[in-house]
Amino acid sequence: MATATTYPERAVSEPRGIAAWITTVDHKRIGIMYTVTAFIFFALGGILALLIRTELAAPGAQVMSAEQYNRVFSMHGTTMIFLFVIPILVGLGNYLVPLQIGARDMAFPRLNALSYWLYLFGGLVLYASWLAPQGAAGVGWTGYPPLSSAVYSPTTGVDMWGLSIIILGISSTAGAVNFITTILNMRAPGMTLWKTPLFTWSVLVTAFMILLATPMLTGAIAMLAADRNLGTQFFAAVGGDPLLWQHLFWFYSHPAVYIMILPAMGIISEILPVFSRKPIFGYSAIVWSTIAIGVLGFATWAHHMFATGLSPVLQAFFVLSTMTIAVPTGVKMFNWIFTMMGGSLKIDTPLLYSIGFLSMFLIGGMSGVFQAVLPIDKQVTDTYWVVAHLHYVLFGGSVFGIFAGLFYWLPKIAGWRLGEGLGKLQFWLQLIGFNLTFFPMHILGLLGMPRRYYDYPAERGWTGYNFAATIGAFLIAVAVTIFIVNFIRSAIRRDPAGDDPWEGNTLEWATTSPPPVYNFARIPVVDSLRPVRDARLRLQSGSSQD
Amino acid sequence: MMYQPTQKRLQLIQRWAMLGLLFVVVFAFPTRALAQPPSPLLPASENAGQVTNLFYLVLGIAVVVFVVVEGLLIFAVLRYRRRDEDEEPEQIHGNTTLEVLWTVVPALIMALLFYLTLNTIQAQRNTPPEAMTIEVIGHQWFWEFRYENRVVLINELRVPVGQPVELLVTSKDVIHSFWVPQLAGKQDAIPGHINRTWFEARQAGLYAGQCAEFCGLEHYAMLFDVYAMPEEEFALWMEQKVASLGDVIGTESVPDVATLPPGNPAEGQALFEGQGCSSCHSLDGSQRVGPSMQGIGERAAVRLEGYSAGQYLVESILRPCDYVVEGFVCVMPQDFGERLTTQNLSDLIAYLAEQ
Repeated sequence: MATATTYPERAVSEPRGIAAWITTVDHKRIGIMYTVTAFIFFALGGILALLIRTELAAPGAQVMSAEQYNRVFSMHGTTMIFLFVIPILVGLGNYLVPLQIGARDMAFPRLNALSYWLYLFGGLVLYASWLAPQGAAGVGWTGYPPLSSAVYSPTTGVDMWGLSIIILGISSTAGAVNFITTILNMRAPGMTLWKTPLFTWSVLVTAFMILLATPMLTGAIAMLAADRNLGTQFFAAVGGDPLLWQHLFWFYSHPAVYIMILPAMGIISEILPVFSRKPIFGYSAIVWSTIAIGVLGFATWAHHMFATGLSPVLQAFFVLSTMTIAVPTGVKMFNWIFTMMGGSLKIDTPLLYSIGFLSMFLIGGMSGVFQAVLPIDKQVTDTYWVVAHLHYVLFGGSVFGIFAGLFYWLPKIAGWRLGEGLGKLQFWLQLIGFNLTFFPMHILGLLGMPRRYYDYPAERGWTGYNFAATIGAFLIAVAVTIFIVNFIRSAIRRDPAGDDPWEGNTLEWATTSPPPVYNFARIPVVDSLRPVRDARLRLQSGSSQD
Repeated sequence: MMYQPTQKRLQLIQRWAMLGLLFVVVFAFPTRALAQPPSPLLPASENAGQVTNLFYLVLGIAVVVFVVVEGLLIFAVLRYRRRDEDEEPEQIHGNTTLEVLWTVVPALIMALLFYLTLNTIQAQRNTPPEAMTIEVIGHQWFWEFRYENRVVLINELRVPVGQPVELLVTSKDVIHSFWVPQLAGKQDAIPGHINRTWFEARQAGLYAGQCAEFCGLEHYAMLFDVYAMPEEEFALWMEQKVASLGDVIGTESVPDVATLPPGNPAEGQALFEGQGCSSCHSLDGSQRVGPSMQGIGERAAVRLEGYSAGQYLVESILRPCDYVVEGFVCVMPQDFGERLTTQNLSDLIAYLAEQ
């Protein structure tokens, strides 16, 4: 006999529409907000990059003054690092980590929401600095005193820049506490740390790095703010030392680059096994390498200071530590390649971006090895060689990894897939555009072109390479536009993706796309590294479950 | 079961190895051919030469590593494309031998690089005792070079070929970086610090110098020339320079403009650039560190009560901080008297009077 089911009235009325998003503490919604906001900052930072490239396409002033140029490249760096790469990886982590470990949310959902709103607020403070009466900060994303002191950069734009980074630091640190607590305490039954997905592992190590490194940057900026506004002399030439800033700044900012790459590497470690139908090659080697990078990353900072007159002991130490960190990085590279070796590769967009990551990060990693050789670094540091290196690891590495993750996980997050045709077109355009932009910069560095130059003499022979780089940059812009078009089209079409469109291994594929607000009806019990694959194979082999 | 190469695969690997070798050859040498001044790949000193050699060694290793690793990657992608929807490859979890191999081999390569790096640092660390010492002082936005015998040059460094030169590098304001790529690696100019570097030019020529640490507005324009001259030519030039030192005005007194010899505006223009004035004072009305010189010819006459245009300009150059235009801070060097003769001063004033 059929009975009509009645559901109890909700005891508390819940907000709807925009109010629901503003008041949410659900890790999935917070993750989406992080990702969307970060993408908008990516577009803003990208426009700043196009402005830089337009100015440098040929000798002579093209579209702006030297003063404006200095502000543009400074904001470009700060935006991309603090408002795009780090937050978007945090956003993907926010969405995926509870799902991957079989939890219902993060350990501290309200703190999680606070992290997001502080991030947004920090970004708004930074962009409001364009309106400072004497202009936005034009001291590079590195803000070295005495240039960034009140004497040489009186604009409040610098104070706002510093303030925004402090706000972002609070956001990150809260997030790190949240991730560490969640991952260490809320894993599903049976999921030991050695059965934890590699993306989650990468977020765990990254969170520890954020926790330990961020206070140094916050402290340094507080000292700079005190010098600028309270008459202290921490970084003054007389009574203090400008080099002190560099040590404090790089103590954070070197781990920061590993903060930006480890989660992207985690994404690659997720995608390669799924798209190769093979387990990750050397799981424990990858875990140990990740931890090694997390620890060693705190010991290499002064390789950014090889031209500052370090003592011979410090020089030797930092050369050694920098070369040492290349070893675990290489170990991961080989493990990834051997995951694919002997596999059955489905060459869809997530895998294409992963392969792109491996190739580009290889080049970026190797240009870094040149810089570890201190005498070579004294020639190539502060030149376009370094600009090439940093973009190969951050764009060729992190950004390609981010796009791989977006294509891989968007079906889970939205319930529909991004179009494959446009995805592949975007990949190839982005690969070609990226290499056209940044490979010539290795050559420019070797031809002696310094960084942060608003203009350059025509007779140096740098013009052709600069022009090529500008063309490449616009190609990248076209590729990103294709992504946006693809996103909109796919959102309209809404081809249902299903729970597990890629034959995934990890727990996020064990629930619906998108997942319900409570993630899992029943917390799963896990006994392997690939629980969803095991379940799929059990179903296929026809074991009855009545 | 581990991946076992067959005969056919061995051939494929051989073909890739040949391609790889070709890559090394094709890649490494055009870098030299593409180089043009001021590329550090065109070294003109022993120190720079050692670094360039080290660079090519690392490049060789890098290209080999790239070909091997990228080759493996491309091979894997092409060879293991999914051909059949149902295919299920062997589920290999790892291989301890391989893990050890690709940990130890890179570590050995790094150990070699570390050894070579320390060697090179050590070889270049100690300044030869016979080196000539020159102070290098970075300013926003020009370079000041002070020789031991009181000769001072702006934006121009002259050194003898075949003699080591030691540079004591510092800054008067923000951090700059002294960089002459063909002669030596860069050395940061940090206020409150003195950083030492040295080189010995081995061939005569003109070498481009650049500021290589972002220092503000005119960072890109802080260029300087380095002339390496044969010993005798250098000695002669130095003699003349020292001799003309006697003619400089000095910093004790300020001459009356009426006592100056007739001025040549064309010489004045050369001095305006050569002495670094144009780094801070524009000619087109745009504001830089100092007031623009556009229209100074008329303005100078009415600036200060009781001062003629000429006298005002004399005082402004030799005693820049006595009267500072409103809205500006006095950062102008106060020792132009040590570098200018009365003729220089007159030429400058003649040139400025025309602006």
